[in-house]
Amino acid sequence: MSNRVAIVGIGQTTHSGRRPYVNDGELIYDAVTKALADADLSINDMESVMLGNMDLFEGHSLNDAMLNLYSGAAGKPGFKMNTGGTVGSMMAIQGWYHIASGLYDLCLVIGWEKHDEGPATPAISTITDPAVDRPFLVGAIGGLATVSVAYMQRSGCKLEHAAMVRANASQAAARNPNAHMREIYSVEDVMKARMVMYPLNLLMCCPTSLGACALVLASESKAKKISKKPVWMKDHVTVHVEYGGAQFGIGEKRWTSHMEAGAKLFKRNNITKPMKETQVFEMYDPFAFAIPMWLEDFLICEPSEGWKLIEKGALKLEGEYPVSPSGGVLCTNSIGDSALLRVAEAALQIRGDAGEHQVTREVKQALASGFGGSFWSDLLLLSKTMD
Amino acid sequence: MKPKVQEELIYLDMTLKLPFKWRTGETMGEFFRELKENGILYANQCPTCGRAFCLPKTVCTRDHTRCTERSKWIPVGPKGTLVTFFMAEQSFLLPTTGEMLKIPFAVGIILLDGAMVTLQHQLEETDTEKIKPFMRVEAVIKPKEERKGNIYDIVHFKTINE
Amino acid sequence: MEAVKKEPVLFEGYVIMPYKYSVGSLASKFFIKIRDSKVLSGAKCPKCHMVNFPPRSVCPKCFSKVEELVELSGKGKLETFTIVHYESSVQAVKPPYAIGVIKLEGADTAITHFIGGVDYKDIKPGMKLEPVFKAKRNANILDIEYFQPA
Repeated sequence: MSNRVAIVGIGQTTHSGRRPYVNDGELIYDAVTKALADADLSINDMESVMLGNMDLFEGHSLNDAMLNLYSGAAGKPGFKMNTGGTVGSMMAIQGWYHIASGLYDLCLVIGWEKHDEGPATPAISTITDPAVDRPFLVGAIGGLATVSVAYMQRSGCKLEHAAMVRANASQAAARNPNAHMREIYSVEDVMKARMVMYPLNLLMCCPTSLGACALVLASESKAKKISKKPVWMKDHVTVHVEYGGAQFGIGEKRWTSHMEAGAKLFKRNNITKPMKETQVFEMYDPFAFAIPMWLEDFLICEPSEGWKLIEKGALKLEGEYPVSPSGGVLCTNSIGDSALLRVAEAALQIRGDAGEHQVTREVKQALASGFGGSFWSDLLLLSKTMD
Repeated sequence: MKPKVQEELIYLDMTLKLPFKWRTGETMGEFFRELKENGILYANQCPTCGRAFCLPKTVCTRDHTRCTERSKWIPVGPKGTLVTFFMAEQSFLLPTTGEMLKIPFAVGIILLDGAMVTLQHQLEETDTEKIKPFMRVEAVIKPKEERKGNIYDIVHFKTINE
Repeated sequence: MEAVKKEPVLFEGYVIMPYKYSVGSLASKFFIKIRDSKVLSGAKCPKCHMVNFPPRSVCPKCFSKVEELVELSGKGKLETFTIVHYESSVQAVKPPYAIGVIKLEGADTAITHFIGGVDYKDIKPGMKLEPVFKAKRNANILDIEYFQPA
């Protein structure tokens, strides 16, 4: 049996659209020092350091060469990773592997992006086939608009439901001082936004943000010694899906990698009623249809029930099953840290430290997800208690 | 870290330019040969799950079966249904050629008749009022002498009334 | 069963991406000093007093935040060098040219820059160098045209 792993330090920068007074390294340093302060540890205590962001998004590749100084990785093991939108959740999972292996007791994981400095869509286009897909620059939105159309067709979900999702997210982000887009929008405001790619209008798409997030992970013996409020990383699943882009079939009925991730995680942890046995879900929700569609695909609710939960107001911060109470990716998307923020925010909810956006329900177990890049799904289960 | 007074901040403006080569592999090579020589779009079929791919794939990503058997190739399109689309309103450097994108530029996600996965290509229509999801479209293929065996052998997709 | 046996198609293209890089608050001050007063400066760690040139806002030795710039004389010593003959599209100047690793007086770290104002056969490790600034300066590292023998 592997070592148990706990989150003992959480740090994030504020998120914004532009931040010219810091360079990449200084941005990371801000998150790292906050996470270390939260854990009451120093950089010398860290035994391995890992860094994640999107290659080429800032025009750099292998940027750990430049950034080890600021991340604190110098003289320690670790690596830099790029798995697209799942970078952040993969960072948390890689940190888990380091500690679960028994080789390390304390590990620092960092995700970051400085989205204002490079061309996101040309950079995303470089993940696709140069002979057939790249000239059309569809980037991330092509596949997401396509599956949104398919979801509307099969479930009865309407544009208005996606607008409700975005309006709820804006209410949540307004209460989160670290979120990027904190303006409050009504359902009518969202419906009036310019269409970008049917059925996704501008407000139903995530923004381009910059920011960084860092977590300190610890082994069981260490966590019990140094932390008053460890959050246990109980389990996690990663599932890949076939080549995405816009070639994702319209005929695909469900998001299969999410389904497989949900099925595995819930079975392994004997969870039969996810909405009862977990109390909050920080979902990687890069477009407004993601919340209703993926609640179904993760097998958290029944098919075609997702949008009905939105209609009932069940997914709001004070609702029966709060989803993305931080405002989610819809309000803050600095890609390299987006999925790590999901883990960080879920852990804050368990600790009761989410401040103004703390959910009203008592949180014993929380879910966090990551999605993106090569169309992967990551699903993590965090818990207040070890067993 | 926010400075108290407004200060001058330096940033650099740079352009990354990396040349690359890309070989399509035999399957896409065959697709482009058919397009160039006969002007026909082909889908290939997975012998295990029966799904038809246009653009063709060498291996079915679901079953990991080789889909290279040529007799299983089926002509698809050139008509199809528009699933969704976007319009580029701002020009920027194309990552593949280094030229500025000519706007207006509309891209559609299209499900060709007979295919089970979508493909993306340029739309002839650039008036957003006239582009409707689920409208019928048809590939406009260049005359034989102009075809080069690449994706630009399809000029664009035009709107058709059906 | 006839498998596809045709030539693959070869595509040649470019990945071209414009991008920006914010140097940050401290490095902005460093570049502005070069542009406005032709003065080189290093970042001094408040805790261990290490001086980084070019400046870094985090001390590589003790991970402290560095906010102070100290002015340097600009004079330094050549540690090592090479002469570049190979030509590529990304070079700032046309070959042949000399680049060296130069450690300035009062700094604990070195910089890579051009060496000029000297016959290439006379360049020797250990030689004393000083910066030559361009007349028109834009607040970047090429405002120093090259280092020449002092």
